[in-house]
Amino acid sequence: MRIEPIPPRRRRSFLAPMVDVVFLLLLYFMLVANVQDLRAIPLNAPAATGGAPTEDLLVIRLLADDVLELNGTPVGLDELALRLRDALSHDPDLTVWVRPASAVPLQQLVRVMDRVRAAGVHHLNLVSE
Amino acid sequence: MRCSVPPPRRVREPIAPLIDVVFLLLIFFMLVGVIAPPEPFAVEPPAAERASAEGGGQLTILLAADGRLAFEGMELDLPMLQARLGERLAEAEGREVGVELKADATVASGRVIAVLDALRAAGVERLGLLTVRGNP
Repeated sequence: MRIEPIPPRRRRSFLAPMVDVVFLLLLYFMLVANVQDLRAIPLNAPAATGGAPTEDLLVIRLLADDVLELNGTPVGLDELALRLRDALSHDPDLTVWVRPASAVPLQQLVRVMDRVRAAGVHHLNLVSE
Repeated sequence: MRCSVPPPRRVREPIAPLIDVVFLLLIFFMLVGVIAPPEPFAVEPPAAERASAEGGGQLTILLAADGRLAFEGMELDLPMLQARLGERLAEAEGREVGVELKADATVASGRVIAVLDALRAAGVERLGLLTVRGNP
């Protein structure tokens, strides 16, 4: 009996499935990656907690129910921005203290901080009640 | 003189080197990318319109709506967090380390300030409060 040698078959490499796998991996990493655009509001460390200058101290109190007080007098958000700009024109380097009531949700506090920073205040401190 | 038009040669696109390069890129990004530990609870940061400066803090602390804290994928309490942060700051050996607080939008402000004070007490100098872009 004569056995014929098997002719070497030319195998084509499977490129298409390999490309599929690469795309799947790519897709996986794109989906897993965290793309949320997070921005930070910088917070000053209060340099002198006890001995803050009391002369032109600006304290914004944030009470429950969206009530704002600037140095003891109730103000609205727009009026607050106006008063802050006015104060900034005298002292562009002034520090503003924000004092929220402890039950106020953070979103409300951030909204006020946002307005304060929009008015041009660079030094913003948070203090507790 | 008669110039003969060269017959169009069939050039096969070399695909294999292309795939090699793609794999190299993939391996590069897998090695370079840091896989963040999954967050132990969902946190939705508050929205801010003018959320200002870039992040740039290397350490992120999570604060859930009910006041729970997490750091590096682990839930812990305030004294433990201070201890862990102290270790991280000691590892930095004097280089400034930025710390960011990713707090939920509904968490009470008093809790946020208490955590911030604790972070400062632990020696953190550059602090930030993370927000998402949006209309508050």
